[in-house]
Amino acid sequence: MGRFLRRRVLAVVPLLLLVTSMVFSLILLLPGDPAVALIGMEDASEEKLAAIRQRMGLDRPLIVQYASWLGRVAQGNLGVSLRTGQPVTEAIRERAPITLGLALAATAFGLLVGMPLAILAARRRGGTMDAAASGLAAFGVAVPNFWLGSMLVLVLALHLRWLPATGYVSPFDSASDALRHMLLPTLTLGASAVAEVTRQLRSSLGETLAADFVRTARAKGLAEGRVVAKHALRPALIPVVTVAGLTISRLVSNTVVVESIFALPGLGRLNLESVLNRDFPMLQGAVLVTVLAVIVVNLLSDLLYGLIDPRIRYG
Amino acid sequence: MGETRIALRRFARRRMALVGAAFLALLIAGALAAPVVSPHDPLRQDLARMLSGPSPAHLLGTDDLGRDVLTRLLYGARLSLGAAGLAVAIATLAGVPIGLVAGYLGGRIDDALMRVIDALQAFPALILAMAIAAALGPGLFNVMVAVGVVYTPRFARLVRGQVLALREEPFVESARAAGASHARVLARHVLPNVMAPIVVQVSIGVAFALLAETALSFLGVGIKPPEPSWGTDVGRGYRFMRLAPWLVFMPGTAILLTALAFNLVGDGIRDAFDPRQSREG
Amino acid sequence: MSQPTRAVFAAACLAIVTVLLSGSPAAAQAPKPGGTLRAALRAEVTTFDPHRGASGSDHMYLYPVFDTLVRFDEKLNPKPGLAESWETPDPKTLVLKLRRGVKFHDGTPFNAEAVRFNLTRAQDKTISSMSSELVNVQDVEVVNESTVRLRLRAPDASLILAFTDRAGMMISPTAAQKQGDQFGRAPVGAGEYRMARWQPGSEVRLDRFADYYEPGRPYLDAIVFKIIPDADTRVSALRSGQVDFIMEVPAQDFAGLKGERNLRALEGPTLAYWRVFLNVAKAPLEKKAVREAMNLALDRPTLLKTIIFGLGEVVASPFPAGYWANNPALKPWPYDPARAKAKLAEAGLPNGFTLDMVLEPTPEHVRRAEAIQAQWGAVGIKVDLKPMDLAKGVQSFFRGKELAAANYRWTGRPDPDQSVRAMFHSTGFYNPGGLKVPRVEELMDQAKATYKIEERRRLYQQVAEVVQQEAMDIGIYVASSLEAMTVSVQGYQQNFLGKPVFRGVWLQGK
Repeated sequence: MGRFLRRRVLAVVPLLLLVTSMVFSLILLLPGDPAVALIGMEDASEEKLAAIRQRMGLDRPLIVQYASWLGRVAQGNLGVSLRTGQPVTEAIRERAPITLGLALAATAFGLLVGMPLAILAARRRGGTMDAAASGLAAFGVAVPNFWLGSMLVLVLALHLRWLPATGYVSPFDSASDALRHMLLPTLTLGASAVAEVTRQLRSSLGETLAADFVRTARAKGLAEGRVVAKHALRPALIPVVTVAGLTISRLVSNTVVVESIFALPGLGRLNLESVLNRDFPMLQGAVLVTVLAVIVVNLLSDLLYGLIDPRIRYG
Repeated sequence: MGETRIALRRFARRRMALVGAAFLALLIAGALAAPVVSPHDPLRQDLARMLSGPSPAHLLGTDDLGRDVLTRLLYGARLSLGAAGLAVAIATLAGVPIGLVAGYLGGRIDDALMRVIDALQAFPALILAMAIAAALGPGLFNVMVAVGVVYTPRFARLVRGQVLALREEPFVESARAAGASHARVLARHVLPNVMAPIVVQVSIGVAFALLAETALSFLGVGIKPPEPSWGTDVGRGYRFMRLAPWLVFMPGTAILLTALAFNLVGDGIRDAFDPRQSREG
Repeated sequence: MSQPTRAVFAAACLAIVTVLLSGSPAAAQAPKPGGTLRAALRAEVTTFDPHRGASGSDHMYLYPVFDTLVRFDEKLNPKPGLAESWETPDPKTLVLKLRRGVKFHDGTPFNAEAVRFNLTRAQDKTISSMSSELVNVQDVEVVNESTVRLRLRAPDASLILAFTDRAGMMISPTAAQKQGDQFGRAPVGAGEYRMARWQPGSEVRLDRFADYYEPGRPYLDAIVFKIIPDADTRVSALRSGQVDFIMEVPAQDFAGLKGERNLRALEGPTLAYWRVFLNVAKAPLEKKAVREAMNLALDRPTLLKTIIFGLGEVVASPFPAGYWANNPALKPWPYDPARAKAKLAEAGLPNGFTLDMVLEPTPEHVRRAEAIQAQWGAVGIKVDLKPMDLAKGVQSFFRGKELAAANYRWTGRPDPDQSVRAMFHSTGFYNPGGLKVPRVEELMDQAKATYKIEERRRLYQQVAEVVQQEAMDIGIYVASSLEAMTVSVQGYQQNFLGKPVFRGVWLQGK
């Protein structure tokens, strides 16, 4: 187990290097002068622009900028925003928990609804329940999430007034308020999570159910319920872990639309605004943290996977 | 090849998949015939009649500049499906070879390739798409290139996984023993057996690309006005939801149904090739 | 006093008192102190440093924190601010008499020395983005505690109104020196409110400044600005009671909001107007006939009705109706596509020409540009729309001068000179092709050099005439400033700048 752990963790290091250089090269991809982006449509003298660029450290060759950025990152210093001067780490520290929380909540929702659906569908392959679940899953994946979000806002927040339409309240300030504000965004994002979970689990549960040892259990005369619960579900935990990990990591990097609709100050919107503002340090920092989150989640689920299934560890 | 026929028959037995396939066939026919079938010019504005509901002259109403919604749906199908197809084509053409090579050769090459793939996959998809689109310039096709690049890892991982499983199969070993080169083995023995999951993924990928186009249009990326595309029209209609809800519903439903159809077809293909189907429990 | 005289006198007193009482609009309700106003704004403040910052969307945040030397009323006429009065003993001297007893938020007294510090800082080219507004200020002399004398290089009437904006915002010298670069995050001004908390990306909280020089002001305990970039989300937030005030209501939602019982929706004119910026260095735009054709081919009233649902006004001159520098006699270009085609033929382009036009990529901008594209297309002008985000657009069009046209909004300036110079002078930043019309430049310079309002008005009206004659401008319409709030928000007045100012606002029933 130790060797497996070490190998997986070590594998992350070159990945990180690769990722950081990709993140840094966003500067190359995005045309546009951050000084101009800062000034906007106003006139500004060349001297002022040059002074801004110098303050931003943009007048040095790219390799030098990359090296110094990397060095600072290694020390935990992600620089300051070109736009507001706020330290990037501070901004991320405030906004990352919101995105992470949302992704976790949506995944939890996905599992809560998706698992029963998958079980129901897997028990009778090809039956109506299966078709319905598969239809629902396809729907959840196919619905544009801003459409779903605005529908939910229209009905639940504006017509019925059950829930607030926008905003974020920290759970530390008021747990009940935080819950109310998070419900609609979670539902919106959760739709695709439900779909993903249902689809993945349905096929793997189906495989398990059809497997030999399940047939043996059935032949032994055990009730169907017990067969499913006791024998099929445990090995099916592996795909659940896999799917949960996949879903969280996918959602973490895809919350921007939901964050825009519900005015949640999360990492997704930070990424978007940084692209639009050409706020390179903020963009690089935010993307780096997002990618790190994904890598960490993948690593954790890999490790968990190895813990559950001994074959993986020694394979 | 007998397997394909068996799979087709199994596919035909699943109602939902059939419905999906029929819908897609109809849609593609309609899109191809758009210039002939459409009642109006998709770009012709009639400002006096903007935001009007369904009427005899305009079966699905008019949009925010008085253009016929039905016509724009048909023309939009061409662009949206074409662009989604392009995105998936890129993802396939890039991802499949990577997956094949990584899975087959294994070892350090596999590690290196997978690391690049991991890095790509970890990137926030929309941001990457925006950055690439910003670099390439405006235009739906440039945006779909970006989406294609973002989607490549799925194919790569999928194919790699399949190849890893197949690598140890006896027929592969015997082909190697008979003296076939790596390339030949890959092309003639491995690839055909991986086709089914690839087809499934293509189907799902088109749905994904369609939705990506919608999201990006919503965020203001990738529009090349005045080209009609479903995503652009949804993004525009969103602003008028209270006044003219059909502007969002029409293209939104089109996207939804098409994505649904692709997913159902994909599910159907997956189930059709799944050997366990024959041992119905 | 004789009997009749006494009667007349009494009647006169009664009349005066009646007029006084009815003239005051809030006579029925007295402002109540207290409460927190929650306002949703589109964009975040980039910096609270008025000299360093340049973004037009910072002003809403800056006005509550920094009082200006000169204040403006809703029609943008100058009123006394931190400078109680001003005079020009000779055309090249401007003397400001400062208000006494004013303190900055950190206790530093506001005086002539502080003004000198501020104006010097605003002139520093490496810090300030509006040093060009103060280019005529040669030096600033502290005459005494409350008097400042500015010696000018040339007579400059635009200074007074420039002092209603960033150039006139007064920051505490002590704080500026102490914070240095970080002043923009921890500002200290002399305004009604002080900065309490700034959560980037989310909200800004400003607390009441207890020692503000006007007793009893401000009425509110605090203002909280919530940053909600998406227009529909803002509308939802207002409707669901999460905020009390929203700016930039989408035109299509305005009627709906107006009809709601517990909301008030306001529509008002502004200096900002939508236009097509031209780079006349790109052929064939240098030909006057071509520009005339472009103007004649636009059906402005229809554009106004369809794009913004009539919530605005067609422009004829660079200034809106009701503004002091406006030319009420000038008529907008007529919609005459036949004459437009004739003009194009006259210019040697009977088959029209191709034009690329930059715009912002959001759906609202695209919609407007597509309508313009269709109207110009009808006379043979083929528009190639190039949506790009603002940074790239500004770079390509204004700085790089690579493209022919841009469909943006002119946001307006405190002083008319700044507007016309920037747009119609051959060296203006917003005139990338350098279109030169000597008569217009002459008129501009004259208007800047005289301090007499009547004469300036006359000159700017002539400027507008020449601009139209030479087809220098393709103005489309003024989009009214649309704002909405709950009925509990009292005392709010829209202004021509189109940027919310919350001075004098109080909350009912909170």
